[in-house]
Amino acid sequence: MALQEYKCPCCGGAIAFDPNLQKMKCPYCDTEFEMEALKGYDEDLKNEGTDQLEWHNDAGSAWTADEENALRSYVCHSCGGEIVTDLTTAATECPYCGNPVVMMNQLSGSLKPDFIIPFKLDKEAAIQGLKKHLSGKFLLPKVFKDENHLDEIKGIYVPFWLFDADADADIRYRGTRVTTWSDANYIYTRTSFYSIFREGSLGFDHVPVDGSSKMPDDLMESVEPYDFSQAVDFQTAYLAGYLADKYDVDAEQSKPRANERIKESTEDAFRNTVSGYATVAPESSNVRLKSSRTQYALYPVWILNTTYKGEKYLFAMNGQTGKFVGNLPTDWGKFWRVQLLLAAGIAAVSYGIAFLVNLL
Amino acid sequence: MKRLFAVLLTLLLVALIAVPAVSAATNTNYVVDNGNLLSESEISDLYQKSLDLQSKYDCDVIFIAVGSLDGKTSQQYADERHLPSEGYSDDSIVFLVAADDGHGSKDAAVSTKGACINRITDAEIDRMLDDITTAMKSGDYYAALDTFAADADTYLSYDTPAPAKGPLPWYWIPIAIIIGFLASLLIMLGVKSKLKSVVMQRSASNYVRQNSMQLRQSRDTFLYTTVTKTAKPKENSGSSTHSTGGTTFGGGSRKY
Repeated sequence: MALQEYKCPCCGGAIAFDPNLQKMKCPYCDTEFEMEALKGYDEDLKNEGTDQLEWHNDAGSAWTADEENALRSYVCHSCGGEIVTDLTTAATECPYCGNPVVMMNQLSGSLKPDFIIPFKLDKEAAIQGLKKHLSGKFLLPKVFKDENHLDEIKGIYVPFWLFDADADADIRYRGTRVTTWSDANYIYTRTSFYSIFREGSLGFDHVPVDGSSKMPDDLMESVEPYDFSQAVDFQTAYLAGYLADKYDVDAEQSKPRANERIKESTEDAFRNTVSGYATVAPESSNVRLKSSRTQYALYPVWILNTTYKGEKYLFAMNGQTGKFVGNLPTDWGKFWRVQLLLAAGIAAVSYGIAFLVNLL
Repeated sequence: MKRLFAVLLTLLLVALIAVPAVSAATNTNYVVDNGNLLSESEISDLYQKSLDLQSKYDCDVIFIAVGSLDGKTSQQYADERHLPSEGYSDDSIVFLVAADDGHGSKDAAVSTKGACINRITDAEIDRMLDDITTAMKSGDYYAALDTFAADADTYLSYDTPAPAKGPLPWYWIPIAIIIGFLASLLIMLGVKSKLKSVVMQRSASNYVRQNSMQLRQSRDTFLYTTVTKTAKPKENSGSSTHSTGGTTFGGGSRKY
């Protein structure tokens, strides 16, 4: 029979049973515990483990020879971007850096996507989206709005790795409840400490991770969410008229990002089940993935490249939902002018208030 | 008959002399020694101190040393010493030390009247009575009264009249400027942040499968509890008052 040593949840020392109190008492910090409390705490500790975030790798499939012949890939010599399109669409400019593309290659050596979400919004809608994005921004330099090359919006299919998983989580928290009261001479504060344990599972479908190194990851994540219910099985015909990016970040490299987001969501969801405490702090958490699956899909994005005062600006619109994102430059002259005016105004008002209060 | 008339006249004269003048508040008996507890030099020293305090703080300060309290409590005795009929000013303080309270202990009391009630608070009176403990225990009544005088000097100096409402001090101008600058900076940064829309997603909350959350085990275990207490800050509680002979007095007393 293995000897069981209980550790004190307060200071970590070894606890002993005190026959006078009929309770467990820590000889180092003098805190007393009920038997059940320690047993529960110990059980929680046993359930601690480490994360297990592994994926099955069976995404994508191989192209058939016919399909390979129907597609061309283009390489940009300026930035190294590689895009794919069908025979009928000519790629004349690199959508990432604006330079004219040169080489045309046979498509080879890459996986065929499992799914594709076709473009739901056309170029007109994209231009409208851009105009709306630029309107109503107080600190946007006026010149920026006029200097845009609106016609050069391009529709691109961006490769994404999609991850499905069931996440099992064991999370342990330390919570406190605080009550205060006072009498004539003292203010009393009682803090009660709890060990909170939650174990359960949560399912995730199609968590996307950008598979193209040329497409900035933050831009692609900002354009989310995509509604997978509108995805269809891939067919080359969908590429007509649009450009598609080949993946160059493989699934292995994308997994850590998916893991991060899934773990974060799981911890959030479980944290929401803990309520009624003044403070809650997670002490240990482990998340394990079950029945995980990786898939390869193309998602539609409208891209616009612009240069302003030597800086490159990249805008993206979700080709399915119309969400438009892109960082805009600041008109610093306007910023400081308005800032100083506002500062003067607020200073005058606060001085006036101080003056009036002083008169009272 | 002549003899009777002479006796009556003598009595009348004595009575007239004995009754102090009431209308003029000009009793200058600031040091009273009814028990031969103080020497001549000590009396004149205390007298001088009393005059000092009066000129500084506009309060009559009366030092009294008695052999016995005549059956009264020390507080009562001290109060009666500066009733309006005694002729001191309207704002006065009596410091009393008694060699015998009738029960074998020494006694001391402080009595405040008029404006002086609020100028010496209960907490200050308490401390004064603390300060004279050694002197009282050793029977050094001059030292006790001297300590009273020193403490009175300190505590009376504490409350200065409220400053007249002058114009807003000059330093409000830079303060207002700083407030204006910071507030407008915050506002402008808020407006500027509208220009930024590209940010990494924090979690995969959009991709959670509907109704897939299963909570299999849920345990909230009570561990232990601690109680801490902090002392409430003692505010300056002011002065309590009582009434003797129809006049309101403040003050306190203690036996030694």
